[in-house]
Amino acid sequence: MSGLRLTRDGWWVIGLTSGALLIALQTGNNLVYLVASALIAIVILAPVLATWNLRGLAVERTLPEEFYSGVDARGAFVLINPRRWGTAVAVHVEDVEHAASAILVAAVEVGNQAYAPTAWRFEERGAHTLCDVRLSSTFPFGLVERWRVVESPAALVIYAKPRAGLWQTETGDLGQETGRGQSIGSFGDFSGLREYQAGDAIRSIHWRTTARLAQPIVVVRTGEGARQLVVAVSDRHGKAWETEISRATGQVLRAFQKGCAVGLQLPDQRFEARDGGTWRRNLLEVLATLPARFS
Amino acid sequence: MMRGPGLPVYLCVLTGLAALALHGGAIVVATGTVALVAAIPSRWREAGAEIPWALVTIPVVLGLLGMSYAGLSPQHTVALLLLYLQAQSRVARTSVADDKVSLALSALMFILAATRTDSPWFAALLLTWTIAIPVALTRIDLERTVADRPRKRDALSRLSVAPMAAPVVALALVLFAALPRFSDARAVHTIGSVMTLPFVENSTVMGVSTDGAHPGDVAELLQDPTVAFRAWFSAEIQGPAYFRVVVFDEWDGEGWSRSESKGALISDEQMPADALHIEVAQANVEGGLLMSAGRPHALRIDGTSSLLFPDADGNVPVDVQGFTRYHLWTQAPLGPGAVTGTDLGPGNASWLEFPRLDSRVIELVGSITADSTTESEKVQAIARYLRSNYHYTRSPGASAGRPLDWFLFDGQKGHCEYFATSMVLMARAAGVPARYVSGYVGGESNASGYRVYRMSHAHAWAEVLIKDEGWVLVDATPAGPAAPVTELSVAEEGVDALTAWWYRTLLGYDVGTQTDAVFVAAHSVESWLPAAGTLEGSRPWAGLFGLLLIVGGLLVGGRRLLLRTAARLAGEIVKARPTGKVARAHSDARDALASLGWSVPASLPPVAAARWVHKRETGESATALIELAWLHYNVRYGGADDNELGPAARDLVVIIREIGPPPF
Repeated sequence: MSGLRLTRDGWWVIGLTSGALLIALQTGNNLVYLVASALIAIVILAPVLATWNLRGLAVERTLPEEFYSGVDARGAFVLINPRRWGTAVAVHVEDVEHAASAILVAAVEVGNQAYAPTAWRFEERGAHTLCDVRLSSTFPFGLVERWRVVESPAALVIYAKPRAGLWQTETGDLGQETGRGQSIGSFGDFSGLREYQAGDAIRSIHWRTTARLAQPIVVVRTGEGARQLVVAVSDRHGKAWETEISRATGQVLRAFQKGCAVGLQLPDQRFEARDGGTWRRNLLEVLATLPARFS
Repeated sequence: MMRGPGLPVYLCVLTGLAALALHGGAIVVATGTVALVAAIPSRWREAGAEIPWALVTIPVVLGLLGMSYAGLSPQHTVALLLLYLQAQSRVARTSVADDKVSLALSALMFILAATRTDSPWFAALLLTWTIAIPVALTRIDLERTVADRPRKRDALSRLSVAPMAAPVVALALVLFAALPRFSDARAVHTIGSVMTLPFVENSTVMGVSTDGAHPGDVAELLQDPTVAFRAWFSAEIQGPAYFRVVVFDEWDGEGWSRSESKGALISDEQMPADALHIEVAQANVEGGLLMSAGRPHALRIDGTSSLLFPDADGNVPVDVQGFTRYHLWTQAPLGPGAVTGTDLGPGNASWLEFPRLDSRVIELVGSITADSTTESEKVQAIARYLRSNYHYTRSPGASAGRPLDWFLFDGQKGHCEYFATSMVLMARAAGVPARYVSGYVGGESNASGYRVYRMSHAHAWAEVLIKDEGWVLVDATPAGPAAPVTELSVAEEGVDALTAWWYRTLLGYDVGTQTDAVFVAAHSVESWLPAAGTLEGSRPWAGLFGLLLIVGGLLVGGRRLLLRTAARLAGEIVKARPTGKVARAHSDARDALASLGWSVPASLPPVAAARWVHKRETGESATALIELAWLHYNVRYGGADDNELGPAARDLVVIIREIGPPPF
C-alpha cells in the first residue's frame, strides 16, 4: 500500500506553476515558457524522485527482548536499502499503530542499512501484535509526501509493569524465600564470567571482556543462584488484581536478578521454583497473560 | 543560532534580481541594493528580524501606488514591489519559510523579466536558477525535516544534493519543446490586414528612420556594431544581399519622405519554384515595416498563415510590435541590377519630381547622359559618373543647407546617402523614375549558415524604373559599404552562432516550428514503414500514427526506465561522506577492499567486518584492518581524539591497500 500527498508547499508551487504556464500560453513568450518549464519539471520530478527514494526499501524491527506495560521499550527500526543505486534520504519510519515510535532516518546508502533507535510503549499487559510499518518522505523537494506501508508483523507479549520496592517480604504474604545450600565465599566476591542473559543488570557487564569478544559478558559473583523463591499471587479483582500481577512481576524480576530459582503460586495453579532465562520468560508470560478480573 | 540552507537560496535570489535588472534604468540600482541586503550576514539579519515590518510595508505599498498613479509603469511598480518583498524576506528571515518566500519571489521576478527582455543573459541567469532551485528546495526540505534534530542535521549536511539539478534541467528542456504553442513567438499582437495598410509615422526600423531621411543622418549609425538582424538563405548567395527597409519617394530639397501608402501590391505572378527562401530573425520591427530583398513574392510572419505583400511603393507595412522572425520568398539576384518589382501600381508622379534642384545639376545630368539613348544607358552613365568622380567617406563634414549641391559641387565626398540621393535625383532629372531606398547590405558570414547584419551595415541606394523591366536596383556608392561579406574568426563565429541560436531557435520557437518538427518526425517514421506511399504534399498520416504509438509506448513501457534514469541522475551521487579523519580512513579502507573484489557483507559492523576479512586473509593488512576498526570505535564511542589518531589511521589504510584480491 502506498500513496502520495501534496504538502502545503506543493500546493503553492503548483499555483505558481499554473500561473506561469497560463502567462506563457496567453502571451506565447518563450522566456516565460522557459520559466514555466523549469517549474513544471520540478513539479513532475518531485513525486518521481520521492517514489524512488522509498522504492525497494525494506524495514525490520529490532525489538527488545521484553516489553513491560507503561514502560518505554527501547529498540530500533532497521531500514535496509537493497537497491543498486540511490541513497535513501530523510525517511520517516513509524509503526502504523504506534505513532510514538516515529523516527527519522537521515540516510541509508546503497546496499547498507541504518539503525534508527526508537521506543515502543504499551499501556496494557498481554498479547499484542505489531502489524505494518509506514515509511514516508518529502525528499527531495518537500512538495509531495510519498508514503509506503511495509508489512512487518510481530507478535509481542507485554509483561505487566513491575512494581518497584516490593521485594521486601516483611508481611510474609508477598513471597516465600527459602535458603538452599551453602554459599561459597562471602556474597559478592568475583566468581566467574558468563554470557549476558536478558534481565541481567547492566552494571554487571564486564566491559573489557565484552569489547574483546564482541559479545556481552557479565560477571558472576559468589552467593548468586543459591536461593529459591516462590512468588505468591493473591486472589484479587479489578484494579487490585492488576496491581497484584505488577507486584508479582517485580518480585520475579528481582529474584532472578539476585540469582534465585523462582516459582509462582497463582490462585489456581503452582509453578515450582527453577532458574534460567527460559523459565524466567515463562513466568513473566504467565503473569502477563493472566486473564483480567473485573470487579 | 538558526541555520540557513545557504548558497543555493542566495543563488536563486541573486539570479532573480539580476534578471529583473535586465529591465535597465533605476531598476538596476534597486536590484543592486536588494542584492547587497540579501548578502547581509545572518547575525545582522537577526537584528533586522526585530523590525516591525508592517509599519514599513504599508508606507512602501502606498508609496508605490502613488508612484504608479503619477506615471510609473505597471511593470516597474510590480518590479519594485517584488524587490521590496525580497529585501524584507531576506532581512527578516526567521525560518526556512522565509527562504521559500524568497524562492517564490525569484520565480516571479523571472516571469516579470521575461516579459521585458530578450537578452541572452536571461538564458544564463535562468539556467543558473534552474540548477539552483531544486538544490535549494531540497536543502530547505532537509532543514525543515531536521529542524529539531541536530544530530540528524549533521548527517544530512554531508549529503551532496547538487546533482538533483540534472534531471530538472533535462526535463525542463524537454517540456519547453513539448508545451503547446498557440501563437507566434514573442507575442505578435496584431497583424494588420494587408488590404488596410497602416501608415507608419515618426518611427525607426533597426535604426533606419521610416518617416524621413536626410543625407548625413546615417553617419552615426555606421559606427554602431549592434546586431540589427540575422538572415538564413535557402541557397548560397553570390555577392552582397541588399535588404530594403524603407522606400522614400518625396524629396523636398533637403531630405526624403514617404508619400502615403497606396495599398498592397499583390502580384498575380505565380511564385516560381526556385524562389529563394530567406528567414530573418531578431528583426525589431517596431516601426511597422518588414524588410524585403530581391524581388519579393511574399512574406510570412512566423506562426501565422497570413501572407504579406509589398505595397505599390515597395514597402511592406505591418502592425507588429517588438522582435519578430519572418520568412521571405523572393527572386534572386539580391544585389545591383536586380529587378525588385514591376510597375503594377497606378504610378506615382513623385518618382519624377526633383524640386529645388540646382540648375547646375540639371546641366551636369545633361552632359553625363548626352550620349545615352535608353533609360538604362542614362542610369548606367550617371552611376558610373558618381562612382568615378566622388569619394566615399563616413565623415564627409558639414553640408548645411542643400546637401546635394554641396556633395556634387563642393565636398565631392560623402557616404551612401549622398550617393543614393544624387543617383535618384539625377535619374529623375534625366527623365527616369527613381526612388530612394534605405536598408542594409554586406553583413558577416557565419559558418553556421547565416549572415549577421549590424547597424553599421546600414546603407542607402537607388531603384530606377526601367520600362519593360521594372524597378532595378542601382548602387552608385563606390565599393566600401557594399564590399564582400566579412569573414569572422572562429571564436567570433561561435559566440555569434550561440546568440543566433538563442534568438532564432529558442525565442523563435513557436507553433510553426513545433508543427514542422512533428511532421519531420512523422515523415521519418513513415519512411521506415514498409510500403510507404505518401502522396507528394499530403500529410503523413501513417507516420503520425506511428509517431503517436512510439511516444505512447515510450510513456507507458518506458516508465520504469524513466523512473530509474531520473533516480540514477538524482540519487546515485547523493552519497554521504563520513566526517572525521579516522572515519574517513575507515571508509576509504572499505572502499579499497571493495575495489579489490572483497565483498564484505555491508551489514557487518566494523570489527566484525574486519574479522570476516581476517578469517580469509591472515596477513598484515587484515590485522591492520582490525586495528583500524578499533580506532574507529575508540573515536566514535570512546571519546578518543580524532586528530591524534588520524595519521595512524591513514598509515593503516596504506597497509590495508596492499591486501590484494580475495583468495576465493
